[in-house]
Amino acid sequence: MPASPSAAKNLLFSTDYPIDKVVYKHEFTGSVAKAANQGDSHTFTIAHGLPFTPHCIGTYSDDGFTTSYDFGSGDIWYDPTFHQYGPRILATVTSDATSIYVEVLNFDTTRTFDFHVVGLVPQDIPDDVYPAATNTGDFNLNTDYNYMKILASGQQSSSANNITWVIPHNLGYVPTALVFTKGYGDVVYLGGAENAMGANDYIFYAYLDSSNLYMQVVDNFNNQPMTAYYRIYLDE
Amino acid sequence: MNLNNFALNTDYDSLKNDANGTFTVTVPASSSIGAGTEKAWTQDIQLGSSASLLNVKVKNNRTGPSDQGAAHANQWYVLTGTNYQRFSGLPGYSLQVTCFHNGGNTIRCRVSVFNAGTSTLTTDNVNDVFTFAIRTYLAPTF
Repeated sequence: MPASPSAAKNLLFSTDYPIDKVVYKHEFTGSVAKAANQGDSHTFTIAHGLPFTPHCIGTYSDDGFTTSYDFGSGDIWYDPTFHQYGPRILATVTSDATSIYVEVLNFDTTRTFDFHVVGLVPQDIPDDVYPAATNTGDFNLNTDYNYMKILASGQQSSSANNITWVIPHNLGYVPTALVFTKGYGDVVYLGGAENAMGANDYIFYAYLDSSNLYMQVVDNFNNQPMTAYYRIYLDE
Repeated sequence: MNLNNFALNTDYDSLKNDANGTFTVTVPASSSIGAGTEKAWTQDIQLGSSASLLNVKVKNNRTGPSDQGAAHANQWYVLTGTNYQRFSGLPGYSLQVTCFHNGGNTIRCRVSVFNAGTSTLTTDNVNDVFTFAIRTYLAPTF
């Protein structure tokens, strides 16, 4: 089959384009007490056991997944304790070489959260460091569902204070993209959620149009090295 | 899974492309928000599967998110759970933008304006139009 992006986006499966590999998935439940102050977050630390830092996404809930939020976003309310509008609950996921960190701000009453964490293989990992598969039934490719097809993936690094990387895709439509960043301490964040739990070294934005992905570092307060990872899918 | 369909097993799970759609929430021009209250504009849509993972792009007809100005109007910002700031008049205000599962496969797109002040806040005399492009992934089986 020819490697034609315009045709392949409608195909069920094509070996012309790679797909995401889920190398880590973990669900857990934990109680988080009401925050005593605005910086009083609780962090769950989970060793991932992988020989590289996975790029993590996922979802969480405080009512058994009737209502759920993706990491990096949360519910907002008028906080009766601090007398201001802000998050009621907010959780983020980050990762480094050893662990995955789920950090939770809970300004509501003490409650139990459920978390689903999914770890993807980063783009810069050579094939020979993939962990041995323990369950070959994990990935069941079938014609019930389409699959996200990666058109392009890569990374950009800088210590600059203001920089915009332009990654062309030239699809003629606005595709789906996933972005992650890695900063001080080699911690990997969901792109755009770097400052959700407090000020980080840098502020990052990612935009898409029908031609390009734009990755923008607006402020890099300490001019620390940071890396932005992207994957652009054929799927809209 | 429909066992009559083609199936192939390999080593690793992947993200399964579930559903997608584009939805709009408009904050009308000159909306009034009473002192110490919030006002939210929402759209509930049925999309994809329950508890699916979301990939959300948001664009606004006036600016980019946070301190990103008019140069980023109508550009798709990757990731929701953010705010847009308006300082064209005093007092300034923020539009909090979120998107989340709200029961079953209902996804709520929400734009909220909070007024923590002691007098009525009136939004700018321009419609603030937020467009959400939502892609759902089937969550891997845990």
